[in-house]
Amino acid sequence: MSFKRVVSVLLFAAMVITFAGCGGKTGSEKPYQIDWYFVGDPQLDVKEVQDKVNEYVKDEINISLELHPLDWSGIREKINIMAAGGEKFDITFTDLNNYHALAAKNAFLPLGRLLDQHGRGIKEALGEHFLEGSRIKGENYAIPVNKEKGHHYGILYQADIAEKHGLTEQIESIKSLEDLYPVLEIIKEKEPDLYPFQSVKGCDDTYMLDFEIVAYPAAFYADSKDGKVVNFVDTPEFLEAAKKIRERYEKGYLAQGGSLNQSSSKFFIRSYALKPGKDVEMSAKTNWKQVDLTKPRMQFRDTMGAMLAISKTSEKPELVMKFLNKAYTDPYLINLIVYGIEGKHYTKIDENKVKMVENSGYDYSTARWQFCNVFNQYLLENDDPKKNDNLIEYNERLAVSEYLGFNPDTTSIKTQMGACLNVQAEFEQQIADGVEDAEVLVKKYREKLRLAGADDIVNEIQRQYNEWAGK
Amino acid sequence: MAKGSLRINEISNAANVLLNVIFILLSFLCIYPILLVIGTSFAEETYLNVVGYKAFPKVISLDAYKYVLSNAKPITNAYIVTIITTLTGTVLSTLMIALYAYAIVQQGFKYRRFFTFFIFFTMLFNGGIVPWYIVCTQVLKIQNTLIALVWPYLINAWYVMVMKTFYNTTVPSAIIEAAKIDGASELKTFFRIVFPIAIPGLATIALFMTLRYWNDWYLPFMLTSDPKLSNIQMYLKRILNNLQELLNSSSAAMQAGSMLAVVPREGARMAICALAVGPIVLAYPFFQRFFVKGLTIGSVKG
Repeated sequence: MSFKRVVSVLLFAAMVITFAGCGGKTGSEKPYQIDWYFVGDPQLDVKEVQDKVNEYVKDEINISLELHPLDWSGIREKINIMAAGGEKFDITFTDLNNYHALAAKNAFLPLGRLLDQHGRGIKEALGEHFLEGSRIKGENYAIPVNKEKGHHYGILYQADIAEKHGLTEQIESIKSLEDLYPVLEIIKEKEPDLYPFQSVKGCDDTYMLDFEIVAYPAAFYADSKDGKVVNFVDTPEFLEAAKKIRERYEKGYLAQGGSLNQSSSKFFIRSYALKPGKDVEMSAKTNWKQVDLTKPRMQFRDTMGAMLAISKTSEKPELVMKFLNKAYTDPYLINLIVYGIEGKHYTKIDENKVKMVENSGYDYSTARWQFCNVFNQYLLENDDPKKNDNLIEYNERLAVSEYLGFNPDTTSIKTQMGACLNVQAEFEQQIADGVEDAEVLVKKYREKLRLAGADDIVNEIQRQYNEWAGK
Repeated sequence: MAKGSLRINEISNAANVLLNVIFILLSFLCIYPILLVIGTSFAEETYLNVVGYKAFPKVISLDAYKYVLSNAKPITNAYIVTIITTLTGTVLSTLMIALYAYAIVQQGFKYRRFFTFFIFFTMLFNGGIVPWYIVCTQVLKIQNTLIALVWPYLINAWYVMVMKTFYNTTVPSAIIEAAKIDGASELKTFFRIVFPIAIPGLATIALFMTLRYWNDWYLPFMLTSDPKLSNIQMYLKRILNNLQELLNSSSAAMQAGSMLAVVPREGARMAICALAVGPIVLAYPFFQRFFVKGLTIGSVKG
C-alpha cells in the first residue's frame, strides 16, 4: 500500500515538472540567447548591463546576451570540452594557443560567407591583411580583435631612476642594446639594490632577431621572401644573440644566478615586446618608459593574438554575426559591454576618457583587448590621450610579413612539436638568464631539439609551405 | 616498573625517542608550509620583495587582508557557497554511501551481487570527462545551479566499498536479526540499530567528504559560469591561474599587459589562501570525537 502511495506521488511530481517545462516554452518572440565566453573576472552587476545591451539592440537584433567570464585555464580547457560535448555556445575568445586545434576539430564555424553577408563593418574595420593571417586553407575560423596589428622589440627603463642619475637622454638615444653598456655600468655602481638589466624570456636578444616562428622551432627569417624554413635555434644569428646575453651576465649587468622569481621592479632596464603606449600600460606600480629598437612588423602571430570565434554549436550564427558586426562598429554598445553603465560603473573625465568607479560591481576594463574593436572604446584615466591615434599610425607603417595566411596543418608532427616545446621550456629561461656559457648551452639546446625531432618539423613545414605557395 | 623489563604494550626508551623525533619531523613538514602561507600573508610588501617568504616576518602589516577584504562581496559570497555545498554535500553523500553499502551487505537482498559489481565496475572503468560533462549538462541539466556543486560527488565507489567492509566487520548480523524478530521495520533497523554502531565508519566517510567538497574547484569550474556560484577554491584558483598564465606565457602577457598590472600582490594571494584554509581546520577536531571504538563490544552476548 505504501509503495502505491510513493508511486502516485512520484507520478504526480513528474506531471508537474512536465507541465512546468511546457509552460516555459510558450511565448513566440523569445530573444535568442548569445553565450559569450572570454577571459575575465566575474562581475556582480552583469545582469543589469546585459539587460541594457539587449534593450539597446532590440529593434535590430532580438537577443539576450549572456557574458561568461572564465579564467585562463577555463578558456584553454573548458571550451575544448564544451566543443567536444556539443554544448551550445556562441562566441568564444581564442588565440594562437588553441585556435588551430579547435578549428581542426570543427569546433568553430567557417566565417567567410557570414562575414560577406552580415559582417561588412567588421571587414572594413580590420582591413584585408589582418584577416588574412588567421586563414586556414583560405577560410577564417575566427575574427581578430581590432587593435595593434604588429609588434616590435625594445626596452623599458625606470624613468625616475634614469632621471635621478641624468641618464635619460643617453638611454633615449640608443640604437642597440650595446649602446646601453655605459649606462648599465653607472647603474651597477650607483644603485646596488637594482639589477641593471633583464633579458625577459621571450623578448631577449634571440627574439629580437624576430624570426617568424610558424611551428616551434620551424621559422622564417624576419623580412625574408624566399620561403626558406629554418630551425631558428640552429642559425648562427641565434648563437650570436645568446653570446651577447652571456656577455652582459659576465659584465655583471644581469641578476646573478638567474632572474626567475624576481619582481620586475628590481630591474632598471628590461628587454620587452612593445607597441605604442606599452610603457603607460605597464606603469601601474613602477614608472616605466620605453625605447623602441627593432622594426615594427606584422607577423603570423600578431594576427592571432586575440580573436573571437563563433561556435559550431551556435543555433543562429547569422544573428550572432549581426551582433558582432554591431559590436565592432557601434561605440556605445562596446563601451557598455566593457565599462558598464555611465554614472554607475564609470564616470566620464572628458569626451574620450573615463574613470572606473571602484568596487561598482562591473568593470571589464582589464579585459578590453578581447572586445571587438579597441578603437571604439573609451580610454582609461591613465591612458595616453593619443593612444588610439598612435596605434592607427603604427598599424599603417607595419612591415607586413610575406607569409600571412600560411597556417600549416600540424597534426602529423604533433608528437615532435610537443617534445620540442618541452625542450623550449627547459632552455629558454636559461638562455635569457645568461648564467651558463652560451656556446655550451646552445650546443646542448640544439642537440636536444634535434633528438626531439626538430628536423621533421622543419621538413614538414617546408613541404606544406611549398604546396601553399605553389597555389 | 622495574628497569629493563617492559610492561605489555610498552616500547623501549630508544624506540620511543626515535618515534617521537620522526613524528615531530613529520608534523613539522605538514605545519611549516601553512605557517609560511600565514606568515607571508602578514608580511609587509617591500619586506617580502627584499627578504622573501618567511614563516615569521619581522615587518608585519595587515595590508594584504585589507586589500582582499576591500572587495569583500565576492569573497563572502564564495564562502557562503562553499559552506552550503559542503554541509549539504557531506550529509547527503554520507547518507547515500551508508545506505548503498548497507543494501549490498544484506544477505536477503536479491540483487546484491549485481549492485556490488555495478558500483565496483565504475572504479575500474569510466567514460572520461566529455561524456561526464554531457551527462551533467544535457541529461541532468544541472549546470549553473547549486545542485551542480553537490550532485556529481554524491556517490563514491571507493567509500561504498570501505563502508561495506566496515558493516561486515563491525555490525554483526545477529543484532539485525534480533531487531527483525523484535518487529523493527527495515528503516528503523538501519537508523536505530545499525547507524549508532557504524558511527566511527560514517564519521570517517563524512570527514573525507567534507574535505572533498570544501577543497573542490572542479565542479564550479566545469559546471557553472555564474559568478554567484563560484566557491572559495574556485576564487583562489582563478587568481593563481591567471597569474601563472600571465607570467609564463609571453604571448598572453603581451596581450594583457594591463591585466598584469592589477594582479594581486604576493601577500594578498597568501591572504586568500589563508582564508580558504580557515574553518576547515576545525573539521578535524569536530570529527575526532567520533573516532572512538564502536559500540559493538557488548552488543551481542552469549
